[in-house]
Amino acid sequence: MTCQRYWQHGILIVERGEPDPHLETCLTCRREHELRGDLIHALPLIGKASSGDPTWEARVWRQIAGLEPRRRHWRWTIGGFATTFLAIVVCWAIGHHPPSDDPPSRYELLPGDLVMRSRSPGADCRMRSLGDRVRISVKPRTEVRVYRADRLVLRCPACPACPPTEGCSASAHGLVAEAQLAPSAEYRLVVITSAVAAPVGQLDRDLEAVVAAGGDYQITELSVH
Amino acid sequence: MLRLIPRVMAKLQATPVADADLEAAFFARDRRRTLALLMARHGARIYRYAMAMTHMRDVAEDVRQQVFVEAYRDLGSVADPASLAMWIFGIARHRCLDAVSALARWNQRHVPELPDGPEQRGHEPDRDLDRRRLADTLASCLARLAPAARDAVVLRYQQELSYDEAAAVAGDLPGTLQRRVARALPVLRRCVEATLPPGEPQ
Repeated sequence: MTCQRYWQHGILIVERGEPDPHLETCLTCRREHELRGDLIHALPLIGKASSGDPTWEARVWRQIAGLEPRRRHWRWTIGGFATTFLAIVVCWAIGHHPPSDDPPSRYELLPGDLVMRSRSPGADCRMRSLGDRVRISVKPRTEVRVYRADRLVLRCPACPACPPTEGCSASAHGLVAEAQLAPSAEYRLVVITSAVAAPVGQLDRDLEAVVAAGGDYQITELSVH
Repeated sequence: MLRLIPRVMAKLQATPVADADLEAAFFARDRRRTLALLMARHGARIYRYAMAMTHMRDVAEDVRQQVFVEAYRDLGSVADPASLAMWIFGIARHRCLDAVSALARWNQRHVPELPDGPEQRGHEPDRDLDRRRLADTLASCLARLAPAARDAVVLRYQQELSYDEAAAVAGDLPGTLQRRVARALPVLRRCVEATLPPGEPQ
């Protein structure tokens, strides 16, 4: 017979380490208390018979060794990726930013008495005569416009499919525009290095449109008298 | 609770590995040597604890392995070598509770796997055999307790910590552990009674 009092109430008293006077008077509860003692004395034996795999320490070391090379491997991988990325960035930068001494356009003045004044750095000023011609050679995908007294007189569009225009011709290196510097006036040669909408024919508005479209241009002024 | 730590560690440091060696390796930041000493000192005890908590040899072995791999990885986070024993036992406790939860989830989805049965042994004197059989039966019965109750019983009676010490490890109040144990022991007794044939010693 099991003494329910012991397992329901007496056990907590025992676990608290407090004396239980009931045990001294109740033989059944004392017997249950001895059964508890048997259980408790057997509990430390759990797992004692076996210490597990005798090679467990070697397995721990193997697992640790497996982790460490992976870290080194990742270092190399990250280093490789970084190097490749840098190489790509450098190549891209070189490819997209040609040296500044490679001019996007070249001007050529045929003989005559004219005065040329250029805003572009490094452009020279030479005296030429009225009636001479100016030849502008530019790279592909570059548009050339010639304005006389702020009015458009020549446009050589960048698109290869555009209809041929008098004064514009294709060359091995891009486009050649040629305009006669007559009559006497202020001429402006505009080279646009990005695709923009068609001009309206007035210098200020056309340049504003280029800037508004995020384009870039180079302008050269010629005073012809 | 902090004053209990040295006493807990004194019990945990059962394997005769000199403290001086461990401290020297620790302060020299020799992680491999430190881990080797920790394995020598605590490996068997952690396996027994894991065995009592999971009652599955493979799982207990995996837990032990995981505990020491984690210990190697996180050794740098320990500031005081005197707390190494408590620290590594804390890792073991968490990994065991994780394993117990995982086993419970597995058993909910699949047919419960029978826990490892009593190990086959050669001839033993009757008294030893009885105690071993009771221990094996108890191990099976422990596996039927709720994880918190099992943890309390194992810390108190399998690891033989006092309630104050077990509370320091488990982060609970001693009274809470006492109540858990008081509820768990009758369950264990009934389980043993139902498992062992009549007339077997209990």
